[in-house]
Amino acid sequence: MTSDRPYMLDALLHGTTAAERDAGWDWFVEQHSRLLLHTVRHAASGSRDDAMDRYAYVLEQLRANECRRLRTWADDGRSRLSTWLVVVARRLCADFQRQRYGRTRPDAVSAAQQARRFLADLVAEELREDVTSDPAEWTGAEQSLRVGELHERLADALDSLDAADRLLLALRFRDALPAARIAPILSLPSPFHVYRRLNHVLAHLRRELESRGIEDAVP
Amino acid sequence: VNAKNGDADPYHWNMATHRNGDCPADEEVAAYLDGRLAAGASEQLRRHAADCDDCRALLAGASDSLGSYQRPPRRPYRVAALGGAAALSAAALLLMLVRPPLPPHGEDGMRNPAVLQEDVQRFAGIEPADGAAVAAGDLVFAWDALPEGTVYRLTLSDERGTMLWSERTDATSLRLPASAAPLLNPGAAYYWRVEALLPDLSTAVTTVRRFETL
Repeated sequence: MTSDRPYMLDALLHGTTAAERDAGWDWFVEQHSRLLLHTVRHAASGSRDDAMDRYAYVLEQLRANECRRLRTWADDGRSRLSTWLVVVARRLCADFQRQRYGRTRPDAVSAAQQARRFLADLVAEELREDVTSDPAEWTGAEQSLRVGELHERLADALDSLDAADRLLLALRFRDALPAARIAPILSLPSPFHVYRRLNHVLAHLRRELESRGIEDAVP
Repeated sequence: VNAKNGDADPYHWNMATHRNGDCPADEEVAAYLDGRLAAGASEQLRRHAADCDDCRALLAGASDSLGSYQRPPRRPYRVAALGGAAALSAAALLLMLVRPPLPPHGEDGMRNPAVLQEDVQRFAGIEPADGAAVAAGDLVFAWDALPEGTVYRLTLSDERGTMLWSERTDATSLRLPASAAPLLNPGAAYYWRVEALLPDLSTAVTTVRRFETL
């Protein structure tokens, strides 16, 4: 127990009587219902009824097993409670969504492999005109060969990037997020810095491709 | 390039990844967003998220929610005008009119519980009366009406705080369904409260109320 933690939170997590814990829970809900409602409404574009269902689910899960999740946060101590609550509420909303509507999983190829292939595909679109001749002039067989070659080399080049740059590319090209949303995720001070970093990464990839033999029209 | 275009998604990315044991814990994601994750762990999280659809969605969603959330304004402590109270010393007036200093806030900026009531909109639970003894089969919960369009959720818990039953309604009363009545033991204490989401998206709660079963 830390001394700067609100004592009602300690009452919730460490109260020796049910009344103490109930009072702690009452306090917790009062303190954070606004943030949680904001988060669940933000997580789905459904109706207010839907938001209330998600909200109830989030509260239920937060209180489950004598507030197991909250205890994990309290023991961890690295993040602010509000940040952690938003993350947990988001995660629970996704779980709720899956429970209610289900989710189909692809099989055969692992998610990571798919990610790399798809990312290569997307970045290749960006780079193709710069590092190859006009694809419209290729024959069918030539096109398959060249595109395959490009993807293979690009996948290697992507693996040479550091984690932040790979995440940047995924957020930008896979998720199509605007720079303003990417900036806080990567702790960049502004969208301008995102664009600058993006240009830097794409330039790096072009150089990598060139060094791996993909230059002009000849891979 | 629009990755959200399912037709142009040869690898079925729209359904791609799924949360698994490799995904970072919520505590790590939160610490990352707060800038409090160690460099090595941040690198690991970013590398994972670059390949994990769910974790990127979580990062982006949480970051958006945090960025768009506006904390409720804190009410300033009011100091009454001095007026004709010149005879009283300033120190005495301050003692009388200004709230005493609050204990330090928690790391999350949470305030002393003594002043919590200020930001919480309350409404009243009516039935069963606090401390009443009722038969589980006859339980009807009722509360004050808030503006039309309000959605209410009633939660019933036992003494350990375990939620037994919860129901959403647009009405201002609910009868405990016959299917839920067996969850209540005779001679035991139970607690209920109602939360409300108003049409203007503000929230309100009743106090937790207690009853005993016959």
